[in-house]
Amino acid sequence: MRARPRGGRPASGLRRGRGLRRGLWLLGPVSLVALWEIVSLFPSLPDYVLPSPEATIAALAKDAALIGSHLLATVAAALGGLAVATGAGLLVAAAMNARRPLGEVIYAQMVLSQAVPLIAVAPIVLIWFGLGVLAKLLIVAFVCFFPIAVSTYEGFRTVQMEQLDLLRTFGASRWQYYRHLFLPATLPGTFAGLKIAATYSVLGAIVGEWLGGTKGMGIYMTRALQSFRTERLFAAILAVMLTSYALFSGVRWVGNRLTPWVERREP
Amino acid sequence: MNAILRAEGLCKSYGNLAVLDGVTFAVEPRESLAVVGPSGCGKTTLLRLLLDLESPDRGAVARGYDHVGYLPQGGLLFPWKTVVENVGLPLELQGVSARERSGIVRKELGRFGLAGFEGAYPRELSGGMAQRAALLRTVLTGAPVLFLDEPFGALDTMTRQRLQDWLGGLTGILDRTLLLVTHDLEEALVLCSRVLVFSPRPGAVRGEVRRTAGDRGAKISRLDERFLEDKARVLEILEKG
Repeated sequence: MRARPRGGRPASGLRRGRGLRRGLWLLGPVSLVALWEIVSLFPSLPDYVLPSPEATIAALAKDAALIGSHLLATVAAALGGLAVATGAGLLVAAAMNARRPLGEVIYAQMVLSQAVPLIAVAPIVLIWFGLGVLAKLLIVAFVCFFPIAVSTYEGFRTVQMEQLDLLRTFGASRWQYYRHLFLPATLPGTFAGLKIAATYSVLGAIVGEWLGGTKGMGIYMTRALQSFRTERLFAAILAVMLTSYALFSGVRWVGNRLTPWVERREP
Repeated sequence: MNAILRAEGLCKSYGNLAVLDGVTFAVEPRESLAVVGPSGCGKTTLLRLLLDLESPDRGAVARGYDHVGYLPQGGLLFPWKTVVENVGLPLELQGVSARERSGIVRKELGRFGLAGFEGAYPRELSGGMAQRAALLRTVLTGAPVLFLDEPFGALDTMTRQRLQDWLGGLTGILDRTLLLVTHDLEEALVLCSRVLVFSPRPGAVRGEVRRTAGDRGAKISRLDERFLEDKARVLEILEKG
């Protein structure tokens, strides 16, 4: 049997609050689309400057198969890069925690690395690794690494000396310290970083595609722009936004399931 | 009788700050001993030396056991583990199978007033329940000696007294050696048959009081004349410093 959380509000109050939050969440996109529709009706604005929502949806429907194939390439690069960044971020954070003075030095270097603009790094990566998937993957990993590594390292910092002492009196092995203390203590932080990284990953993949390559939403968007098919560009933006949100929601869903002890307010 | 734990001339300093100054005492098997003293007199440092979490600058600790049960201040349940997982952790680390562990834990939960809260996380428990869960975890280490550091210090007076009485009754059943560190004189006298009184920092043993009110595990009234006399003797040593 599960205990009822103490100090909780009545169930009906919670339901009302959740409904209100969902309503407010929808208000933003609905208002934006309404404004877009109104502005696009101005006769002085040609379609190539601002296509209407209907024209955008029509372009999305017409090009669904093409957009789908480009999107698949972008998502594959985004997920691949995210996986590389997650592995590297966890390892680096664990190493930083194991050697604290060195960890603080690496932390400072990582913060400095964020001052380097992606748009400057991406061409260098393409020169070094070519126009293939590997270069895209590395660009994504570059943008995703920082939030994951830093959030995980901050999670390590939440571990109390007393918790370590307690496990020591229980005779815990090194692996058991990780299994019962470090891993669960860092998980909420890691997933906070992963949620940010999930949205960065799509952006990183598109930047890589803009600068070179043959497949991906970056390529599709560049071609749409060069042929003044603004409705296709808008359709691509819509598809990328929905994909980013789906990735973010997927990471959040997994995170919520893996950290059931964290008290959270769901929208 | 051979002591199960013996401290000989323990000294400890942090930089220029002397915390313990030649602490010597022994604990017999199945004895319950409390260490009381003013805040900052080195009680927790003493516990850390006895638990081998730190080394003394001088002196030695002789231990007649292979492992310990430790209840740190505040209980320190792991927030990511349910009651069953927290309480069964020492057994899990000892390699007891999940099935056997679950059986042992569920059998004990009732005795510790936690039946029905098996799947609850620490944030869902009251302060008293969380402390009982932490205490059960300490007991389930199976260690012959239990070290308790201010076990009920963070609780309100009523809950604290209720838990002290409950644990006082349980000590007879548990049949373990108990070493309690506290600044609460009543807690020391309710739970332990002998009280060591520490001086202000640097901590040293200033005297000891053997409880005359009630046997181990017996219910002790705080208004009992002998209890009040025992308390007055402890206070007298404390006031002399």
